[in-house]
Amino acid sequence: MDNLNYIVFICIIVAFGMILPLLERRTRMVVSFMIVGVCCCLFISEINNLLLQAFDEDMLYVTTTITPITEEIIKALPILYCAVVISDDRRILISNAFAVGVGFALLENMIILLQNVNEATILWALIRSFGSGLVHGLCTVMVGMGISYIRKRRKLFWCGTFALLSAAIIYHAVYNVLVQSSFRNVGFILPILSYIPAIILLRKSVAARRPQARAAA
Amino acid sequence: MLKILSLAMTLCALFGFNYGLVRFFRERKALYTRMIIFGIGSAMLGRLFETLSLFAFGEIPSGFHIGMLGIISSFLFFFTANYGQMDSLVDDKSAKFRKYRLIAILAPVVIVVLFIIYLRSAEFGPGAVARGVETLVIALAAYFHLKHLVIEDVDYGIIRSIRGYNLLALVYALLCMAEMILRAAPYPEILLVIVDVLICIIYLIFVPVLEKGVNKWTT
Repeated sequence: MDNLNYIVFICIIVAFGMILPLLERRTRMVVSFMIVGVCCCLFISEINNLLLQAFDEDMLYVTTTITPITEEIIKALPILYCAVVISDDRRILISNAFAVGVGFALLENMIILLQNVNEATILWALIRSFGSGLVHGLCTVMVGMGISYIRKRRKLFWCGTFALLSAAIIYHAVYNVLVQSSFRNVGFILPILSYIPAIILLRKSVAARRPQARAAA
Repeated sequence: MLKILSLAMTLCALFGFNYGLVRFFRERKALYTRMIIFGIGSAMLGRLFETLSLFAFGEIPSGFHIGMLGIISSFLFFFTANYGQMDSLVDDKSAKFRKYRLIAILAPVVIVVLFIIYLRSAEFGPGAVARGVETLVIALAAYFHLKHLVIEDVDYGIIRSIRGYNLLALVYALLCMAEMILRAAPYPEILLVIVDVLICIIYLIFVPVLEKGVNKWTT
């Protein structure tokens, strides 16, 4: 049998790719970034396998120290590209960043499902979706939001980009540490606890900008 | 003991970060101050990772670990705040300020000496390399902290009013180096306890001292 990761990847990519021509420009961009996230995940799964071999199959060390770095760097690249080439508008960056994260989590969950197919339950699916799905989404949103802020401030750009990546990496590593320890339940709640205030803050900031935008128009 | 100290440092940094968010972000204060708050936030995240590692696995990984990134990015923020926002206001690169630039070199020299002491007891590997990067960033930040501590004041007392902050940041840089040495070698535990308690105190008073200085800019 061929590599199952690639089979799942093709299934997802083809489905998403087929609907792209039917979508509006903005929605098409979001779905395109979701596809980019899926591609990032496939790429990083190969890199992580090599890293696991390089660190003598020490799963705990690799997942709490190495993979947060590699995954966050790879996920940040499309966001940086979007900020530099497409648009540094905060709303566009945030939606594209979340799409990359969700696309990444989608394939990652599929790969983990294939590796643990006998242990998977509905509860497992819920925990994985809310846990890892939100962690990947939130980490890339963190980078996207930050880049939209620092892009206009040249003196902040390099240290800001590094610090944002560091923040995303640490958040991801904290999640990985928690879910592999006896504090597993806290780990699964952490992304939801971070997601709710993030959504409230974002909604508030959008609502605050709306009257300004109307006045400007 | 190490667990309690680590937790205390995380909570103190969290307090400093939240206090800074309330004081400097609501009213959209100067970018300089906001960068320092981001720095404390980064340090808090680094400490959080170390604390969780201690509680979850009983130890902080001996080599390179993610918590180091928090400290590196925190000093990177302090460095950029001073270099990018403040230094051009206080030093026009003329010969008049040369002596201050030379005096300031003392800070990175001390930091590098402390790193050499660390290397004597540390194992060479990715951890030591990461500590080297950490030292480099700390040394860069310490140079500007000392420079802004000793340099002549410019008009309106901009630099004089934040000398307290620069002194604290310089002490914090030295304490981080001391912590690095004490964690790598079998020194008496009480020394590490003292250093960590001092770091806790600095996290607590960092933002209030900065705020007191910055408020003088507008009065």
